[in-house]
Amino acid sequence: MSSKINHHHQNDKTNGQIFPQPCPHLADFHARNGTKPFRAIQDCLHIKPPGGRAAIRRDSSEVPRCGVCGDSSCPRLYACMACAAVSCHVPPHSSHVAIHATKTSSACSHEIAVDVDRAELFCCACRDQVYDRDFDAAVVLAHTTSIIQSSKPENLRKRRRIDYRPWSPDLRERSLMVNNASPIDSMSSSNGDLPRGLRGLNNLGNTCFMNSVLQALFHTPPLRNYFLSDRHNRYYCQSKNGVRLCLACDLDTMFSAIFCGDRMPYSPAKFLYSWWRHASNLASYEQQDAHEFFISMLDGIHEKVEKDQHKPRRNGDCCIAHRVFSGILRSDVMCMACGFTSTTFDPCVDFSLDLEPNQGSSMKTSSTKTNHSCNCEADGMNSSQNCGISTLMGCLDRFTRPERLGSDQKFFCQQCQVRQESLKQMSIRKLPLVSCFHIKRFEHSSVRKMSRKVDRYLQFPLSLDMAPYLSSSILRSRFGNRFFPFDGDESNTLNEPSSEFELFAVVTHTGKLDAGHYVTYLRLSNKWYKCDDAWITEVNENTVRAAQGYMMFYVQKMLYYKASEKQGTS
Amino acid sequence: MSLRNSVNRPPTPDAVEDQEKEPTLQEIINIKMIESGEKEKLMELLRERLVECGWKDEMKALCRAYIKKKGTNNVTVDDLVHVITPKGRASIPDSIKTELLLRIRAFLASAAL
Repeated sequence: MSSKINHHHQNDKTNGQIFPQPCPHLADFHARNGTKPFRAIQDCLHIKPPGGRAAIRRDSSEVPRCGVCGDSSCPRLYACMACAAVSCHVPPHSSHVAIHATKTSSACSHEIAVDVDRAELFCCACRDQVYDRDFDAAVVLAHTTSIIQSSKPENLRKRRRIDYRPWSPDLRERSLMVNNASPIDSMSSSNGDLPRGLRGLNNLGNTCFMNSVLQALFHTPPLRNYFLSDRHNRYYCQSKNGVRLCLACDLDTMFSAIFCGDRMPYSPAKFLYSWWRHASNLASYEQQDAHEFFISMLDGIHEKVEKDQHKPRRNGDCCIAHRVFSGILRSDVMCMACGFTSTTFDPCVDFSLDLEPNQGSSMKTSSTKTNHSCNCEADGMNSSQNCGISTLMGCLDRFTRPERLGSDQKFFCQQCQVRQESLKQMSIRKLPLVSCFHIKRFEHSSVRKMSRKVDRYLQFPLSLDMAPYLSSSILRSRFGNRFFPFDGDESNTLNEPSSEFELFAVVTHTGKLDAGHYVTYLRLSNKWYKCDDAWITEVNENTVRAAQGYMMFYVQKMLYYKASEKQGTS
Repeated sequence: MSLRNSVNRPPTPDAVEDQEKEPTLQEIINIKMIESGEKEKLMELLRERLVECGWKDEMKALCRAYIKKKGTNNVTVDDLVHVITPKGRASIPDSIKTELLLRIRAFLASAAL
């Protein structure tokens, strides 16, 4: 049926992104029309509210119709790029656009057309969609505002990635190691003992909220590596800055204690005292919220470092807490009256997700968005379980879904110069090394003057691909089929391994809002361990799956080395 | 059917006038819906519903399977549209059809057609 098979649309990789070579007709169009062949179309690009899709219209109220048969209800109407004639395309019945293309002469080529409702290029000779960077650039430009978009967030200045080079000590380093360190006994699994780094934490009076988060942090790979490789030496820090409050020093103390091999439960009293001094409003023997503690602790680590080194928060490089946990969220607010979109970028150290039931209808099958390993034992269970069971992916879908800001939350539109109803959409601009997902299970309503806990079960996967929630994916689906990179982002995120994450810790909460208990499950060498204050036991994976997840920690599967400006420790 | 005389002449918007055709009721409704913006609103609503119920994911999966079978370089957009249109039309949930019909009916009533 198709006559185009003679020439293949070869794919060309630029910066890891697959970019199709133009068909001969598109290449010819380019050749004939100079450097900015699609410049004229830019004036005809209109963003149609309420969805914000790009359409081609000569004026905003134009009703396009086929120049030959007058049909305006045809689902595919194309405008010729050479003469702007609009024709319909209803294969296999009739294609007036194909007939129009035959008018091509040596003087003028009528082979390239644009879909008026989707702003996508079509080659009438090849009878197929074609892609062009300049055209996509024009479409994206029509969508985005010049004010905010032009300033790319600082934190994304790309640093060169370098390849891993294995290290082996030279003579000097070897003698340093031999003289100043003692060898660790190799782990003997026959011993039946727990792996190194697992040590119970005594409850000092309703401190399970702290113990649970600490256990997760002790086994957060980048954080653990940082402290165990002596990147924050407490003796050095105190000698340089004096003996004073430094949460990082206290963490360093704890890491040494946890990984030294002693199996007796450890009492993090000194750390608790330090943290109380940092977060004095939370200093009491009452039960606190584990997530609040987590945020407060990261903030504490950052504050001290910032004071010492006067590094502003940039690129997440200010302190180890941000280097590990901070990512960037993108927020787009689109005016539903005129389509004008305002974009802002905000850093974040975790993702707080609402927990609502999944309202899947009988049509819903396992999502084709990702290939994440399903939480169920048999695939057959998946489709029935998808109706009504909340999943982490479902929460993330909801998080990145366009949300209608109600009439009481009208947003000031710069183009309309008046408050309008808008559509807001969140997406992830930069993924952190470690993603912490916090499920909002504790609802505090100031209106009803009560708090309640949401006990609903949440299914979470062991492996997670965050690609569909990235800004590039979200924007791609909003803009349609484009190849133009967004925000100068040259990477093809769908193929990049750095959007794949592995679960390594789950903090769970059982009980009521005011009388509950936190427990952490850790995943080490594919075995699961339950850390319940001072008691650590190995458990079955199914126990973890069935638990009520409150905070889930995922680490990037692949970590890259970045070229560093300076040598040595930071 | 009249054809253009010169390929370089830009078309006039009302090219159909030499056909002397009475616009059908369907055409009138379509134009009224486009002009009032209702058509775009309904399209957005439809898109939202089709995503929610998983129809879009199903169509995507069908396309992927077809492309995989034929080979990436041997498929055109026309092929895909031709292959999935019947399946797509058949698998739209009745609830969505009903909802849209009700909306259109309400529009017709309000537009006094």
